[in-house]
Amino acid sequence: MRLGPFILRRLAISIFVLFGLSILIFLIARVVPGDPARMALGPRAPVDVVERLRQQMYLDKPLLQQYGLWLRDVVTHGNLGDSLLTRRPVKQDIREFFPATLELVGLTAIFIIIAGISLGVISARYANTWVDKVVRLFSYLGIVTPAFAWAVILMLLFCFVWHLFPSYGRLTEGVMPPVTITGMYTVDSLLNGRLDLFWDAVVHLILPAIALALPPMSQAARLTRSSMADNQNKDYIASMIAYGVPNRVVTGKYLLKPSLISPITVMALDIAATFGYAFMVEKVFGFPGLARYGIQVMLNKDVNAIVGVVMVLGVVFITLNIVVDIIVAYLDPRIRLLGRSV
Amino acid sequence: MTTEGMLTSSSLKNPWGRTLYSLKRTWYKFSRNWLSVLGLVIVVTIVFLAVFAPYVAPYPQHAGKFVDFKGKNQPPSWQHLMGTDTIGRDILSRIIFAFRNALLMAIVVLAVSVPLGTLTGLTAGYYSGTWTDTVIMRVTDVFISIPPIILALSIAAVLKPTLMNSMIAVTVSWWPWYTRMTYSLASSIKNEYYVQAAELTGASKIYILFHEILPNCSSSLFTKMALDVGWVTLVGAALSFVGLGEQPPKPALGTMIAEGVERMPAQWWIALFPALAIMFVVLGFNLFGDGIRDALSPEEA
Repeated sequence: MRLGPFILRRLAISIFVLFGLSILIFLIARVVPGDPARMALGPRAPVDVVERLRQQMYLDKPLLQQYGLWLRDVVTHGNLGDSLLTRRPVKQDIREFFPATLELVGLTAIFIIIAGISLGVISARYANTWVDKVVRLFSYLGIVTPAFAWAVILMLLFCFVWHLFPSYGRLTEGVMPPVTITGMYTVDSLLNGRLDLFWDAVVHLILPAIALALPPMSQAARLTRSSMADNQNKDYIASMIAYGVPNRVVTGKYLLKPSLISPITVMALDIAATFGYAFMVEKVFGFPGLARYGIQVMLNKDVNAIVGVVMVLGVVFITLNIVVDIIVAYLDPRIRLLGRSV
Repeated sequence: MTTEGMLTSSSLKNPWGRTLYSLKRTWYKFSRNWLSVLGLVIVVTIVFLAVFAPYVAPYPQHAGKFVDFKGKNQPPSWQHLMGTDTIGRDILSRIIFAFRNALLMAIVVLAVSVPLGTLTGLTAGYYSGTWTDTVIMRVTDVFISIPPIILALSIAAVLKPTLMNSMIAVTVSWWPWYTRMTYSLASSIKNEYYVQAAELTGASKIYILFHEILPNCSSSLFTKMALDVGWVTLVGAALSFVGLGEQPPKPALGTMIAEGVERMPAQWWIALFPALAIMFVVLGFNLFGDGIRDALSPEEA
């Protein structure tokens, strides 16, 4: 097992990328035309108050020094500055809204992985039969319809035509949320032993999660099918079958493992991109998560909060990529042992 | 199908005949798949609607500042095939005009990101293993370290919300993906014998990059461009959905959905038809792009 050095190398690259991302997003936030401090406080705020905020945000210093001071605050105190919109530390805002989105994206990821891979396997197993054709047609439609269009369609059907699911929020109106432990209602309600609350939270999550999951899930199904179909004709599979290895073992162990490499890589990218599409889906379902907070701060040019949200999502995305690289390295010994992708 | 058998000496002698011949052959392969042809039909329809919007839209004046409170919130009917919105504007007409901005955005974004991405990717790929490669690809890594939609949203957020700025935002987050694709193609093509042969005969770097390597990346590039028209439309719609794109009263698919969501479920048509319109665009360009990929791929007829 030579996974250790591989992971270390991967971590080093990630820290570099994260550092680069912080420079990029900091530069973007500083090209705002106009004075962020003035914009935050409004045109009628007294000059000395604006000046104090400018000093707090280091806007009176040269750009390079601004970045240096900002980075120092982030690294030493985890301090992302104050939100100009909510007047609270950005860190606190993110801590409040992030668990909701994490919960949503988590459920979405479960849907993507389970449904995507199983649909792909079924489609490959019954290649060129009607089952395969239905799955392929369905996944094509899934890919080309953006998550927020799905959100509109699903909401219309399941909330208003059939009244099966609630259309708004994280919990039924008037229900008290569970005692905060992680901030994720599903987890907190279970930790509190409140099954009714757990069910209520799950019911509110299902539709947005399906809307978010449909496009990436379809993509995963398509990739799994095509890479399984490619590998099915390889010599080693033919020899397995000739040796009399049971079909279940051939498919489950020898065919599925190498076939999952490309779908897993793409699924990770897609799950991360889900944080982006959650911006729209959360808006449709009135779901109070990080994405909805993100939209609010973006519309209000709240630069500190924008930088904070992007950096948090950047960390999530990069962590996810490391995890996937490790899984792929585990699946593909060529990467693990030679340290290169194929 | 053997290609040599169909080549006549006259068609090979002049280069135009050869181009025409290869176009014909590509079209033949393309037209064999009815899904690709369906994609082409959708693409042509969208382009036609966008170009001739003032002539084909049933109520062209509804695309701009227009208010008719008497005719507001009407469900789909023969007068208004997709109904009217909260201030009485015909939704079909607004969708047709929104196609204009969507296509314009895709053209601008691709016109900048494709040359930029291809150039950087070719250079980094050809000089792979040198510091040129390292610098270009590490910068690219930073740009693609977050999903393009989040990067585009945050750039659009700090700029003024206009169509032009949303184009800039999408372009900045789009080019690195072309760099990465061209890079991976170029870094493997440069080891082919024909590239080495060109190097041995003393061909210039420019010649090798643009005459030996680039043509062999072109089929992947064309395919990605065709697919990306759909995806750029989607991201553009996402930006305007949030409120960071084209501003009302000008029509944008995302803005229309956002307005419609407020009116669900009573006036369901306001959100549903623009959502289906986005689906139509992405579907069309996806089928078309897949068709191009199949038609340009060298294996099997």
